[in-house]
Amino acid sequence: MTDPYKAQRTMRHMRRAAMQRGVIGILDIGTFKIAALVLRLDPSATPAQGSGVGQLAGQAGFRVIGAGTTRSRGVRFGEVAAMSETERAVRTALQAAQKMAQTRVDHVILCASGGGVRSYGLAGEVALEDTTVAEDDIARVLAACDVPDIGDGRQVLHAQPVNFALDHRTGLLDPRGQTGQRLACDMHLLTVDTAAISDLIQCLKRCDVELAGIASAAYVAGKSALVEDEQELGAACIDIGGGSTGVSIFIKKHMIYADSVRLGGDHVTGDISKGLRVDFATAERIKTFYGGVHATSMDDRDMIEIGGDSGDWEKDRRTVSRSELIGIMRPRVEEILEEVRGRLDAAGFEHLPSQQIVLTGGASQTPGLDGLAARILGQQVRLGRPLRVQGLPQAATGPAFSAAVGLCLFAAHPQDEWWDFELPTERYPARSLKRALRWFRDNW
Amino acid sequence: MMRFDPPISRAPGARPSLRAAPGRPLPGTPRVNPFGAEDYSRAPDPARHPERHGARGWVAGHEPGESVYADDHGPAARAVGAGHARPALAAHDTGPRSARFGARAGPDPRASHGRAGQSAPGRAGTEPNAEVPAARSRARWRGRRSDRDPAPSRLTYRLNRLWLTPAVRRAVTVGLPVALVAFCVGVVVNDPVRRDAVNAIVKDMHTAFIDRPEFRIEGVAVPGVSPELRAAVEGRIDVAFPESSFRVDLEELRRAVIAIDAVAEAELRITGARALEIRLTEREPAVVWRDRSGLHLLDAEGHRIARLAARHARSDLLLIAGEGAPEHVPEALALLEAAAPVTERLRGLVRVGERRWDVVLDRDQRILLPESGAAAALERVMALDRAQDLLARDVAVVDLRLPARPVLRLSEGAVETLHSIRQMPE
Repeated sequence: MTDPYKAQRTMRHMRRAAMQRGVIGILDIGTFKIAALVLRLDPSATPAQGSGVGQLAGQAGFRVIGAGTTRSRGVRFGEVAAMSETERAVRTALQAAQKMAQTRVDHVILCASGGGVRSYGLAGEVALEDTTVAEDDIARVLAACDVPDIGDGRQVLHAQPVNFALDHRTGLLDPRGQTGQRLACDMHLLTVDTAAISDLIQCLKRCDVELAGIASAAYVAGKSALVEDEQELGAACIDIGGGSTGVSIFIKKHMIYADSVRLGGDHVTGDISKGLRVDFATAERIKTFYGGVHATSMDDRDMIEIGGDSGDWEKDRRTVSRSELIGIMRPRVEEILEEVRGRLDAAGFEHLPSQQIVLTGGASQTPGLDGLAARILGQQVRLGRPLRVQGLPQAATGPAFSAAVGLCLFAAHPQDEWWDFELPTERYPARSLKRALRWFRDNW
Repeated sequence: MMRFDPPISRAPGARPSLRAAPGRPLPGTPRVNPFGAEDYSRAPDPARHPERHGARGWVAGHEPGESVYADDHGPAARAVGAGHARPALAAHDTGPRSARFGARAGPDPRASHGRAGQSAPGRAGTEPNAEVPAARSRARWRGRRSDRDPAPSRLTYRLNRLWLTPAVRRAVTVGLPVALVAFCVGVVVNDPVRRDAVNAIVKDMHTAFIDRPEFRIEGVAVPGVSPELRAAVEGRIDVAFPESSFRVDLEELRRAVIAIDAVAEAELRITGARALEIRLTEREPAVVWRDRSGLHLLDAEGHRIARLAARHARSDLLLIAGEGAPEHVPEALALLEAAAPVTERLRGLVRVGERRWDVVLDRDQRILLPESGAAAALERVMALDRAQDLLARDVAVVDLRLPARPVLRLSEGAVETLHSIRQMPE
């Protein structure tokens, strides 16, 4: 487990370098669209009064100075399927964002929505050498967490300490400086497929930018779409994207579970395409303009021009009623939501004190989705939009940009992870010297 | 024919009515569609390009119930979904071409497929406006490559990033022009022939300027002095008039004029009458100094003024003689003042051994004065003279070189007379 440790430390250093330079890029490589944002980091900046941008949730301290989106190419289920196509799309988005920002971006933070995330809860416990908890002890207790077998070809994406316990007191956010005998911690470990991640990294390398961090799309979407009390009391963020749906559960401001369903809006489009025998673009347009999940009697009379440019006049002039369209869409949407329901059940979501569910992501804009989701997932469902951040173009404030905005927050204020602490000294050869020093100090 | 008007007001989140023609962006919809990329920074203003937004042509021309897609230029909505099949068109690009796509009202590039259907019977009557947009779209499409990849090539991308690097940008926008100008100037200057030509031109212009009549000095005027001094001053001024005032160094001329002995101070100015006016302050002669070469006039500080041809020309002045006398003219004048009672008899003062004064009276009487306190010693002699008529007697020398021990030397006749008187029997 040292290797991801080293890799993540390197990315942290990159992030620090980017902070010093003041400009960092955000890249959300999704199945449907690729969004690139350019942030100007200025920790002392405060949002203007009356702009609706708050101070407290961590969205201060940076400003979006450039944004570019493009239709994603060569990505399926959030994973790279055609590298050169993806690279071109990334270049398109990055260049547009750089052009708007009028600055070049050298460091980019990425989010990964594919790769089949799996989350593990770890626990570790150490006896304190001193009665006061020091930084060193945090590192030791994090290193003492027993790591399960995460499987071959998988690597650690997040390793966040979510809870600390000192003797009989638990729920400590920051135990440093407190006194006790035994320090225990719970850590949330998120692993992804190495191949999926390295493909994305390879894509970035070919675009001449350095990777300054990588985050799970489900996690960052939750960071931006859940409001503070939801994060505190327990909520699930369902980020329904084009090719995959991310599920993340938050409580006490920490993510405790994340998973992804490899289904999304593209599958709905594919169903329409097959059902109506139209091409994918036409199906996408019909879904966007006329889609829904609740059919009423009025919808029987709403006839939709299918359109198309096949050259066959009869084929291009077909009409279909909106009920038929809804009849195609609804089973697939239900399937997605039921898969999500399964993941939530597996995670024990019903045991949380508050069971708020927030739907976000591009496909959450389907009309009537909240009503359907309320039947399948539970009563407390709302549609979430990302937090307001400074300088974000109006067009990029929709729910499709939750992950991108969350990644901005992640870039400005990343949560402490396992690799933010030094490795315990026992692993270093300097240990003997330190022990000699300690002996010297104790005996003299 | 009924005119179809799409609803204009609608709640921002509301689903668009099916009756609305999808070709026209409804008020309140964001300019970006979530299904294709738009360039937010340069999305076109619908108010500025009304003709691109389907305000006429296919939307206005169709009737309710008729398909809005009947026309062969695809309504704009097709471009919305077209991102899937042709990401090239919906994606970002720079330039006006993508702006047209951003408006979602550009005619479909594949309109030519559908144009075959235009000859279908019964369609021409329903679409009176079909020909005009078709022609327009053909014209618009001729110059554009429809299937171009919007993604920048690696080279373009790298060059773009390079251009956005501040150092490179500054070097190109500032450094390069400066270097270019410097290089051109260097090339021009490096050629001696050109340099000489430029120098000659500059010199000519300079000469032409300073030779203007406004700056010319016609002559020199020395008002209020004697003709000899004027001649001497004019002889010293080595300028060929008329001359430009830029070429006349007044300070140097002033030094030359002051070098004349008779001139104490000189003030030079160029008057409005284009003349160089020299105002002189002459030295006042105070004493006449005789040395081996002849007679000279000195002022009160001992500065030489001029040669004097004959003593009687300035018999009113004191005559001094001896080496080193000019350096002590003020002392001599003080002695003259002390010797006021015998002014008529005073022949002159002689500097002896460059250290003390002798006062010479007529009848070859001399008063030898000490080095210091000469005036006081002379006043003692004057007091003696007043009391006892000392100088009227037959005394040759009154020696006061040692003030404590004054010595009188009688003339020879007086000595003999004194002897004879002493030897006379009582």
